[in-house]
Amino acid sequence: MQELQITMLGPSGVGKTTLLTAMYEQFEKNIGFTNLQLTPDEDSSAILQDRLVELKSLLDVFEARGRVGVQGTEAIAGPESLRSFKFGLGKKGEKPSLQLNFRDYPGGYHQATATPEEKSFVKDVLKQSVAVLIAIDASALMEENGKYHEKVNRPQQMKDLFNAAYQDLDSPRLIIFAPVKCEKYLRDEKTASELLERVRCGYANLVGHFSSEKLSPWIVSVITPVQTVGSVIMTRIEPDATGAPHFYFRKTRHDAEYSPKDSEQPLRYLLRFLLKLHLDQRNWGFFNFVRDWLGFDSHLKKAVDEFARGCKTTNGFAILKGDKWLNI
Amino acid sequence: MTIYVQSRGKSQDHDYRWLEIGKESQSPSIPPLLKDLKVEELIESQKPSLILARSGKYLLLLVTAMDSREERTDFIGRRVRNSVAWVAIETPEIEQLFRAIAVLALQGELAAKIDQAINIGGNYGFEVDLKQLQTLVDRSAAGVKPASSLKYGKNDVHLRAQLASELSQYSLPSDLGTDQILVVVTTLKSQEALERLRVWRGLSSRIESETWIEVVDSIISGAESGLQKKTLFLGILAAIAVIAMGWIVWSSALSPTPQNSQSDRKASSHPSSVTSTTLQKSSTVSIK
Repeated sequence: MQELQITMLGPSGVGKTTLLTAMYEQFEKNIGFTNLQLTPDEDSSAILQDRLVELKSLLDVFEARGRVGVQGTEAIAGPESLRSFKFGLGKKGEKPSLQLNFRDYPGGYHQATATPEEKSFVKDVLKQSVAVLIAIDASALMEENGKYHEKVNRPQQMKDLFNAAYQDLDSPRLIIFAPVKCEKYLRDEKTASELLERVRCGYANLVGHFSSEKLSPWIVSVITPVQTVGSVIMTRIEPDATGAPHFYFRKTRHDAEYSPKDSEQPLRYLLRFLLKLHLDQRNWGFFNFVRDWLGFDSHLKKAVDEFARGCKTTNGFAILKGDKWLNI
Repeated sequence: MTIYVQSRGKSQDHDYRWLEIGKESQSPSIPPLLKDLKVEELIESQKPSLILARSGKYLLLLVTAMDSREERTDFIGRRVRNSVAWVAIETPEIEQLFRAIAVLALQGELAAKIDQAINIGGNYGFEVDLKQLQTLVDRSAAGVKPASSLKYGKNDVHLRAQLASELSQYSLPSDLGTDQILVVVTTLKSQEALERLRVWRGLSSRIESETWIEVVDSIISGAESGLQKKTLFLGILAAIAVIAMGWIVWSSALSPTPQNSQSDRKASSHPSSVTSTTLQKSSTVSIK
């Protein structure tokens, strides 16, 4: 079975694992409406289910200080021991024909204190990934005029990582900017537009880097905000003694339940991207299998097409660059 | 014995990492046995888990995701987890010590003791008091020889207590091989997966049974049945030898006539006539 790798990228604590967990929860719900089936392997399912329980338990309290995500990620025996969260994708009732491997890792791997092995791991997974999801702490980006954005989301560090990994690219890549903990900013069109603008400004260096002569032909980038909990909003910030911000979140109602929104959108964009590569019928080396993957099964192709057409492009969602790779 | 501790500090820069805790220094180092044994395939280390394993001459005890005290949170308020790995050349004393620490872990009494030994600060956001880690156990005792059958069950309080009781009384099995996962407490693996690895005692959140499921280890039982077959074969050979000896003694006790001796010599050159000759000889005797 062909495999595709997708990396969750971001500094420690921004919400990589929370985003992956919310995506897992919504995959089945949304993809269930089509003729597609997305099945996690046994270990991935057991671990993500545990994290989902943890995420849901955050709503046991009305106000959470800082914590609207799951536990920090660790690698028990170094980078090689980090597991892939594996999902088999295929037509309902049939064996999966494509495996999506989501890679999560400790955010500390791209900090100054990381070992060479840890830094090299991030660079390698970036190189090998067809898509990268950059998790963005929306509160840090939006509140107090983005005062905490650099400290929390470390956009320059993200740019440096891509700079090191994306050299001599010869095939297209999908970059998804995914603001999380963003429930407060998607309540109306005005704040949703502001969120879009802040992502563009906050990651201007990286977006500019993607527009460089060498990279520009290969980069597709989109913004897909994901409401990873769905029923909490950021209420206030209290800096601690070191100046580090603590964001407070409270439930929208006392009886509010875990209800993530739009967490399937990254997958919709990924499938749209793969469908376009298939339709293009060119030789992409990295993606050659896509021509055959969808070519032999018109029902599967139709189901992928149907799901991919659900990509949002308004109210906080946007295609930043490379829309030719998404036109189906 | 080498002790490693994995934890994290408060700040974003002080993410989870292993430190090797020496007398003079505490430096980043991943316990090599964790890589060799591929522990990530056995446990989800971010959930409370335990592994006791033998690798060559070494014994490993790994206890993961122990709770820290309430004030030990990271920069966004997530409670910090502590994991500890003990690695040592296996001796009777080490075997007893590792079992005693495992018992503490299974009884839920280890986490607080470990956390007391970990302080916030240092180059990596946390520091460890080695002396406290070296005095976790008041006493440990030699165990009696355990049953070699494999046992699995649900990872719940009840079976963890039973496992603790077993580990406090019985020693670790020595007949399972030199590279062997002996005890696993996990949230991740199915009974079939634990059986495949011939884990001696395994508790998993993915096993439903609230009582122990006993499994006969095919390799040990195979070896035992091989031994039984060998013993039976030797027994049969011995019986044949005894019968043959008896016959020789019995037949030599008779005092054969010169004619008989002659006919005996003739008969011995005709194996097929041995029985009839003997019968004749017997009848001669009875006539006498």
